[in-house]
Amino acid sequence: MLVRKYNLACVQAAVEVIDDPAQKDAVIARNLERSLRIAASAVARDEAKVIVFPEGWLQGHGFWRSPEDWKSICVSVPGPETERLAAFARRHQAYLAGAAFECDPSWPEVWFSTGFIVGPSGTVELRYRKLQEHNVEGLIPNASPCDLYSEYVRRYGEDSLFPVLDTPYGRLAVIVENDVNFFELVRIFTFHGAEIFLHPTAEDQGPQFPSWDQARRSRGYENLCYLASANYGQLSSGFYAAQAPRGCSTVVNFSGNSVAKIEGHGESLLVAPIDLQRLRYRRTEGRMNYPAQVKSELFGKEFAKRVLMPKDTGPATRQTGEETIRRLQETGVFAPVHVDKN
Amino acid sequence: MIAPYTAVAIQTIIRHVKDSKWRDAIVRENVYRSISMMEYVRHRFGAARLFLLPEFSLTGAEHVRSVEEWTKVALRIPGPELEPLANFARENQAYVGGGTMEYDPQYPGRWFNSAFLFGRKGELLLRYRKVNGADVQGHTTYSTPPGLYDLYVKTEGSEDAIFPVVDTPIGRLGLINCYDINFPEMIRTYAMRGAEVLLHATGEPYAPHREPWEMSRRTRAYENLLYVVSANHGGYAAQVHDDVFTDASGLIFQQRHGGEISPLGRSHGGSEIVDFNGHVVGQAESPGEALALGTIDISALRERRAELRGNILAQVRSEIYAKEYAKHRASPLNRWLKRPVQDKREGSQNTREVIERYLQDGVYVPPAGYELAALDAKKRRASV
Repeated sequence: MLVRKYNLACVQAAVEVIDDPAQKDAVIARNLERSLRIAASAVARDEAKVIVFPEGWLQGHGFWRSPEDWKSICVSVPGPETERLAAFARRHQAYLAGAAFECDPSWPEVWFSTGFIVGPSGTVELRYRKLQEHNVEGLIPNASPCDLYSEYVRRYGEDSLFPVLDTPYGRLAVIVENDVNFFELVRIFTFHGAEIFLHPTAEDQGPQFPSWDQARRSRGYENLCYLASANYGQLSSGFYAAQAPRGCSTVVNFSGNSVAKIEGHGESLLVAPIDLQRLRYRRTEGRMNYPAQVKSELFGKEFAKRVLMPKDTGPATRQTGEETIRRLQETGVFAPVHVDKN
Repeated sequence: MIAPYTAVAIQTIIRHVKDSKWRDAIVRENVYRSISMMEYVRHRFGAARLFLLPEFSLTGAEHVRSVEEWTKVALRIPGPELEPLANFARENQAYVGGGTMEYDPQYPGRWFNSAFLFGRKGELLLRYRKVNGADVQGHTTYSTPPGLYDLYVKTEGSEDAIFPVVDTPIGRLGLINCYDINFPEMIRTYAMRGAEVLLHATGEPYAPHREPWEMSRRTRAYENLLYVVSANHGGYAAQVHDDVFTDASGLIFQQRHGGEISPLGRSHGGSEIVDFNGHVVGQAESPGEALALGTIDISALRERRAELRGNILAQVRSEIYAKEYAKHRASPLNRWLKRPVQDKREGSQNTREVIERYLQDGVYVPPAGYELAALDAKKRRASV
């Protein structure tokens, strides 16, 4: 089956945050059912075939949580929650993508922010663990596969780092939140064949915050890809300002233009047409075909010369980040802060 | 502690060398017009410490000239034509950079699209040769260092010559040209080599509203926590007869030469200075002769880089990414190692071959109805 053009939806969800871990299952169930109803409206009204949910939309980011509480609110992927989503996907013959705080029961020592796609097969068809995690800033006590690289690759294989799912709606990849700021990651997915990036995100700056929006659009432009960002619309929690998330869910096309955007926060739904045929045609054109023009061999050499954030540190913490900055200053990648050279 | 200082992008109307017999006079005119604009800055706004001229700002870029003729039109770096710029730098205790087409006798039969930076003693601090451009776009015949990688590294003595960075009392400076800005890998490489201010000598021949490239500049600054100073040309003044130019209105005039027609339309202008948050701090909004002035605060940049939150540069999982880049085959090195570029279409052919390989290997998916390996003459012409 070949689909040239279809609708993609981003559910800008109003999320109930798990304030009390004892309420985990009830809160997740409410978030799940509410967002699936909105998704159902996108299917009924717009025949959406690919639907994206925000990062952490089942559990909510609780930056005040203790490491034990964080782990206790994790889900498994696959697990009961993805099964519920997969039932919807099978029924509507659609693909659903999101990201959740996840712990693999076979590796209970660590947990991840995990992107996934469930599809018409009724199963989890793709699982991706966020690489550019905020743990290095001390924001969240989880892990990135990079922190555990050798063990991670031993368990899941190297291909598990950058998975791409081939579907009638294009080759789909999931990147999560902060990942969008790292062009290398998006480029590598493009090298692996990705065409449509589904970007569950959780951005809590105000609507006037151009940097991430520019980064998002640059990723589309420089990789000739679509990128669909679904952000939180609103949070209900004893610890959060209700309108703290910026919303601004956006779909960016292969020219770097945002083809659809919600201009602010609040629970909302964004639907955008994806012209797969046009994307594929654009990629056959030579002019400004960056993924084909980039000197990958040259930059592979260059990137290997200096280590920025190292791998295999064990689950990274604020200390890992601070040590990295110190090392970058000592090795001259960063200049020391106060030097009088005038 | 480095005090904040003013940097200026000098947006000139480039007098274009069409007939090479007028080269010396036209280059001189470009040099002196640039200097008079820098003098104006000095008198009108006081001391600025860093000046940047656009790409190919001294000769123009004649896209249909033969390689042989280009080696005669292109300048040496350093060389007598650039000396007045070096003198200005010395006399004003300033840094002066810019772009020019370059010939280096070490590389016979080739020429480069280069950039230079003179320091406060009038000394040449940096020489950069464009890494991404004609070799993948195919609009002219200059060589890029990756195209002759092994020879280049051997001749220059080090890979560092491809991405030179100089540590100065006004920060660590690096140069890039035009199209380079759209490859985030370029700027990351510079950042990994310590660059804090990226001098982007550019030549963007598009309409005033050209958003993707502006976006690239801002994203590059934000994701690498560095300043980007972009000097674009404000238009072309073409030589109509002998020593007669069109007026300097910012229009690019249609010119016949060797049966081909050069571009018609306005320049993009839009020279700008972007800070390490990705915010524009100075901008010439339109084409024509103009100045973009902005403050560069290196101490603030260094403090920002020492902060953990949102420090993208310190968080890059570079080892894992380096491995993936090394595994992938996109645009190759050493394509013109043995035989220099002769025909400008070789650049687009280079990209064409990668695309066809991508379509075969599944990196790209052919659109419905697309014929694979359609490298027949007709399609090839369509791609140049």
